[in-house]
Amino acid sequence: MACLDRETATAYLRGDLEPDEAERWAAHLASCEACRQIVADVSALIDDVRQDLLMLDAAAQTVWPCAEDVIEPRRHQRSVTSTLAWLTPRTFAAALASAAVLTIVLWVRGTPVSAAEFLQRASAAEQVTDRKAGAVLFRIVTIEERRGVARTLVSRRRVETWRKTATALTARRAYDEAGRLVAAEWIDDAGARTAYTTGRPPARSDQPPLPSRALLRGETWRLDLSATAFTTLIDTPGAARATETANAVHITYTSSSADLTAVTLTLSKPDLHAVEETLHLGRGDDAQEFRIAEDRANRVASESVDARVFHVDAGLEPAVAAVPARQAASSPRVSETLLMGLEVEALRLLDGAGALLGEQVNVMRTPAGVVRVEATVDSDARKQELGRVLGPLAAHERVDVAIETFEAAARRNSRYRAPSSQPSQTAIVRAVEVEKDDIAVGPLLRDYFGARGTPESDAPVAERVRAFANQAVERSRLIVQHAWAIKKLASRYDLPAQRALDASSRAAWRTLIRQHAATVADQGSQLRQLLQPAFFPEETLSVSSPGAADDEPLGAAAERLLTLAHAQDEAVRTAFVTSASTSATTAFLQTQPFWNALTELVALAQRTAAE
Amino acid sequence: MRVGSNERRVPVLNLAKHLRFDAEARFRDIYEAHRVALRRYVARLAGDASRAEDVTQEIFVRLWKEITTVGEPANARAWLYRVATNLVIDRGHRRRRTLALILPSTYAAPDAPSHDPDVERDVVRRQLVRRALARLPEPMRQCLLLHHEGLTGREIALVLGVKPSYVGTLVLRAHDRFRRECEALGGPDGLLG
Repeated sequence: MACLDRETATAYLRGDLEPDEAERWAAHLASCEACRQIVADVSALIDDVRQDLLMLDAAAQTVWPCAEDVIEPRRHQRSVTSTLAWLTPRTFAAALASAAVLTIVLWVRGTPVSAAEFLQRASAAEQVTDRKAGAVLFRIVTIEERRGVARTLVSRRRVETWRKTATALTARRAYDEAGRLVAAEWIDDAGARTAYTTGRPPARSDQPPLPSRALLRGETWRLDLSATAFTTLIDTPGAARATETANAVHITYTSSSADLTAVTLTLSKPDLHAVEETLHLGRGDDAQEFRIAEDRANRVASESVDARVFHVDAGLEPAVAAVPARQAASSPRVSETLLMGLEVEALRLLDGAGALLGEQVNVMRTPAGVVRVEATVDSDARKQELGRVLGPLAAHERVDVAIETFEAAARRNSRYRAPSSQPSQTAIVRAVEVEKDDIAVGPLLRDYFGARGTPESDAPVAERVRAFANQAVERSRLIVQHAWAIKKLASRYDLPAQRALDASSRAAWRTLIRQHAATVADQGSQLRQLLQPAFFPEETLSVSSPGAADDEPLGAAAERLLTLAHAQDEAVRTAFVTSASTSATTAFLQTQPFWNALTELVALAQRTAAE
Repeated sequence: MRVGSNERRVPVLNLAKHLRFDAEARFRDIYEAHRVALRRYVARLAGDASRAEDVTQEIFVRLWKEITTVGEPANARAWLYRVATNLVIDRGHRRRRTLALILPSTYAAPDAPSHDPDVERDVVRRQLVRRALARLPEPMRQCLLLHHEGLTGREIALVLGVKPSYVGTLVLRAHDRFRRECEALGGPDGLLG
């Protein structure tokens, strides 16, 4: 048999080959070192690129509408409680070429595979990953605990684990919702473990905790999210069931025992990497549910990791002990109206500080009956400013404010990385380079200003074109920002929720929306005034008076406003921003549909502002 | 029941009301299964995470219309990514790195400037990846991203309209080219030089 070329190796790794062809290559690979090297090289290339792509998604976070909102946005606007889903890069980083080959062969065959077999293969892949020396595995998982029949969210923990491959060396740190370290565990080279938990003396042992015992003692954070740990937990893999979807394999195990009633492990395809686990304990009102989900997994060369991540920081023991145990949500339920009032007040204060215009700010009512305000801001000054603005509200026992800077957030994720040996990058400046020094409507504007002469200004034509473009882009940007704020505010309360608001909160909420709408209307009008003489000399500046009897619901109007805002911004940016891809075609900005859209935007904004 | 040219589709066209429930359930399953990956794909392809949410929602609105009028697509995943690819291109999100000379700097920089060398290095690296991605020719960029969303060869072929047997080659060339672009950008005169 001839040897593999790189293209076929790629198809082989991807599982794209016909089953019999794949098996032939598998047999060939077993005996051909050169071909194994080719497969390994291609696999390493793909893995490298995957790491690069994951960087793009880092720290991204999305609020998802529920499916019903997409189906019928007008009928069910309950996005207040829409799920906050972390954008979890379902990473395949932990898989090595050999593990991938193993699982792809299994996948290609297409025969039903038992849960026990899936677990066995996934465990084997984990061991392969773990055994290859010279790397550090870094992983972040989120653990959510829910209680009772109503599945009330009780706590959310973030657990970061560093593990050196081919050794036992591991450090695990658990943080609470406010980002405070609440528990930690170290495992040294010899496998000796020390666990620190709030309010307890350090516990030392040479054995891993039995998963069932860790669960019962509330040490869920010490559990590994892995097929190996799952197998230990359920002790009879034969009794588990596997179901497959396009992207994942779900292994479910149910038991009649009073403690652990059900566990589900989700393995991502094709590498069978454990990404999520749900554990159910007890029944009825005593029922507890833990959901452990992977947010991020990276494999890093061990030289690039600061050895300190594996050390017990000198200050840590007291720090752990000093953190007071957080009261679980045991306090009596407060009225939803009160919480919504606090929520509107938080929004009002934030808006006053301009924080609803594209800053990373989140205001939500938690199941525990608290209004939580989270913000990630640019600078310490801004952090202090928002803290000051929210100050009066933050004193309320039902309000929880957490503001941090991007730098702190980023450092939290990369604080253990060794400083770069490269010289400091001044390259950021170089990144913005001119590939084509003109804007799409440049010629038209130069003609326009050239023909009109410069009666009121001696500035050269180029300067005036630039000022004109700057102004258009800036107005367009403001329109999008404010339209976005309107959309976010309007979709927060649907009609039933609006009725649940008390009168003054409802008025305050409507005022916020009206103010933003007025800004959109104002900026839109000014943009029209700016563009009209040069681009639409035939058009008039009047906007047809807003129809008073229009019964378009607020949510839908906000949605349409944002769509129009994006559309005009797209056109403005394409026309006025220098871009490498600008072609000689007529800019959309010069067309009638653009003018109509801008006119409609202004009319709609005026109407929203007047309501 | 098979309906002429639509025989590859699961017939949901029957408008009997009880079927709506099935359609909703199917939609919900597809939505839950694909939204995260789809949004990531859109953000990467458009090179602009800020609008990915809107585009993703638009895709699912279209899917709902498709399910309730024509029927569930035979391969929902390939359908979603094809719509996503077209939508991103249509909306012009595919602009090469827009050089925001005249934009206020806060608007141009997707990453907050920082004095922390670690953060700075990440920012530079991210910028490099974005630019390398933007430099890939059209089918290669999509192919590379689709590969990393775990699509099968047949699905990628459906999305891009190429032969399934060509997918392996395209995936490899896309990776090679991406690596080369990174090296070119990160070389002595580049971002990391």
